[in-house]
Amino acid sequence: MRIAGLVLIVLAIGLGLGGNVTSFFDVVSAIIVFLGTLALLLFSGSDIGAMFKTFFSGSVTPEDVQAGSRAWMLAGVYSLVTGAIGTLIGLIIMLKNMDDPAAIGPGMALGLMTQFYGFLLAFAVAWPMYRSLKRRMALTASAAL
Amino acid sequence: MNVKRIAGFVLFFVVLLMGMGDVTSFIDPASGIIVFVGTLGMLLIGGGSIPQMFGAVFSSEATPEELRASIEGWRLARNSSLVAGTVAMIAGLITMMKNIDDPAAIGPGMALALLGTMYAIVLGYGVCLPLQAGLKERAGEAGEKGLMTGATLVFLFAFVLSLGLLVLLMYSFSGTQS
Repeated sequence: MRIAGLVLIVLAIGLGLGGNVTSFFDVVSAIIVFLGTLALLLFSGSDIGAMFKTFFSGSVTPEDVQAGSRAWMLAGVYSLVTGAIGTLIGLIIMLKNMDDPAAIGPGMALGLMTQFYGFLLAFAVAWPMYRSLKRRMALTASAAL
Repeated sequence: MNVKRIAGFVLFFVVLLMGMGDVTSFIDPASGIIVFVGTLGMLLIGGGSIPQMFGAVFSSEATPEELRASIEGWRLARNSSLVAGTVAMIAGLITMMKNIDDPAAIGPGMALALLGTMYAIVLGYGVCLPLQAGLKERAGEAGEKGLMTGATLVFLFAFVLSLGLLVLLMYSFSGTQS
């Protein structure tokens, strides 16, 4: 079901943008947000295996759920923060080259695209996952009582 | 501290360097001093013990008390770095205002003001938070409640900033055309 949700989100954005979809792919912004989030998750020692297991598979152990909920919460925080850092990098590139109109576009684009990716990853994927896993943890805790 | 975590640390900075492109425009000693030394100063005022903070990160046999003190220290460091970033931004804006009669200097001045904020976010959320999260995992503590709000606020700051600059940019473009 989660995979269907992910497909629907991508589909909704794709349909909404129509022919403009290609202008919403930016390799550098995607690297900053997605690879940056992954790097920070590695750095904080989060269980990335548990994150994928809780997302894609239905049968998970309680330990996986706990490690996954922790990691998904951090993933949301990191994606928002890398989005903000990317925005600042883009704005600084733009402001440094104010006298060169050709450099303004790419800088602004980097800033806005990292925001777009960071916002989506945090509020559409990571934190819904975190809340879902937290609910499941509460359910198993009350069932054990 | 294992190889995987160090690889993550290195990868994060490689990613940032990739996004920056021309690194020289992202180096400013003044903002760096305000953010890094300022954070250190606030940490000392707040009662953080730096040897203890690093000690718990690198040694595997830290006692629960040492772990807890280190977690508190890194949380303090994260909050302090954001304050220092704000100070650096205000200082940069004041410097910019001093040269307001030279329109060509406004853009670079604004960029310098934002640079301090960027250093602070990288230090606070790119270094202190992962270290703190790793320690929390070891101590078996639950996640922090205010963390999600804090990250959302940082994101909102960047969002409002870029919107404001976008509006200013359009305004200045329409000004030059008419």
